Amino acid sequence: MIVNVDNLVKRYNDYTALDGLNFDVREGDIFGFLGPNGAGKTTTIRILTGIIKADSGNILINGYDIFREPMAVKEIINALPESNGYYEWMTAREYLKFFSNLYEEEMSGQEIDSLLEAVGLHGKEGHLIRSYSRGMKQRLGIARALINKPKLLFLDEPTNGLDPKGRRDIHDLLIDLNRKQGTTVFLSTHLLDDVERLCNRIAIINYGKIVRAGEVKKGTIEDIFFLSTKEGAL
Amino acid sequence: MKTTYIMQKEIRESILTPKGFLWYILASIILSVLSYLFLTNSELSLLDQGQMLYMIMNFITALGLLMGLVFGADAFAGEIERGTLEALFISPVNKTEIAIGKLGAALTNWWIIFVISLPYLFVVGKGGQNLLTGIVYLAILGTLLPLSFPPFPWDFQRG
Repeated sequence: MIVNVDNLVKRYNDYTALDGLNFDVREGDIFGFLGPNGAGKTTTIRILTGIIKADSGNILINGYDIFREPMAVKEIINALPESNGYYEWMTAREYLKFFSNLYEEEMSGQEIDSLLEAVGLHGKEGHLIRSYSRGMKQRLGIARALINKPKLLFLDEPTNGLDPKGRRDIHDLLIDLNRKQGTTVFLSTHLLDDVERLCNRIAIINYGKIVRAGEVKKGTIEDIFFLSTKEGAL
Repeated sequence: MKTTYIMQKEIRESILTPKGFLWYILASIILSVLSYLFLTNSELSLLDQGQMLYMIMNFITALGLLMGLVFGADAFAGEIERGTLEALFISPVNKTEIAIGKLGAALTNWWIIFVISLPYLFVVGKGGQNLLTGIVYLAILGTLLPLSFPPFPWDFQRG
C-alpha cells in the first residue's frame, strides 16, 4: 500500500470534518476519492500532503509517517490543490524553475520545456502566467506537480472549470502518467464521469467517514454514489 | 539554499515591481521635503543638529516600519489570498525556511530605504558629532524592526 490512513480525525472548533477516516491506496492505482461538497475531501488531501495537521490518527505514505517525517513524504509526492494560485508575474519557465529549485532538482531549460510540452503548453513557455487561460493554468499546475517525478500525485478537482477538450487532455495525461511512469494518482472529484473514465478503485466519503470503498465497475458509479451519500446512508 | 530562492522570489514580487519603486520614490520625496524644511525653515533651522538628526531618523524609521508592514503583510496574506502558499507548503520546504526567506526580503527592503536615506542624513547632520553614531543606531534599529512583525516567524511556525 502506498497510502494507509487509519482512524483520521480533524475538527474545526465544534465541527468534525473527518470522523475516523480509514482507507488504503495501492501502488499503481488511479484512486477516485468521491464525495458531496463539504464531505471532507479537500481536508483529507490537505492532511495527506502535510499542509495541515490532523487531531488524531495515523497516515503512512510509502511507509513514512506524514506527521513525523513530512520532508521524506514531500520528496515522493506532489499535488495540485483545488484553488491553486500562481505567481502571475512569472513566465511558465520561471515558475517551474522556482519550484524545481525547491526540490533541488536543478532542471535544465530543456527539461522544463519538455515538461511544458508534455502538458500541452508548447510555444507558451516564455509567456507571463497572467496571460494564460484557466485551462492553461491548470496544465501548468499539473506540470508543477510533476517536477519531482512523484510516486504519488494528489489532484483535487483538476478538471473543474475546464472545457471538454481541456478535460480530455488532462484525462489522457493522467492515464499516460499512470501507465508509462507508474505514478499512483489520488483523484478527488465530484465529477462521476471523470471517475468512470480514469479510476480503477474508489472511496466515497460523506460526513467525514468512508461510506464505500472498492473496485470500480463500469456504469455503476452514479448508483453507488447516490446510494452511499443520501441522507441516512450512514 | 531554499531560503535564498524564496527570498529572491519575494524580492522580485514585492520590491522589484512598479509598486515597489513607487514606494521608494515616495520615500525620497518625503525625505527631500523634510530635509529642505530642516535647512531652510526659519523655526526648524533653529534646532541644533543633534535634534534635527534625531527627528529625521524618526521619520526614516517610521517609513521603514510602514513599508515593512505593507510588504510583510502582503508576503503572507497576499499568498494566502492568491492561493500560492499551498504549493509552497506541498514542496519539501519547512515553514522556518519560508519565514526566513520572507524575512530576508523584508530586511532587503529596509536596507534599500536605509541607503536612500543616507545622503539626507549626511546633509542634515553634516558637521555634527552624533552623525556616525546615529547612522549606526538607525541601521541596527531598522534591522531589528522586521523581526517584530506579526507574521515573522514565530506565529507562522505555529500555524
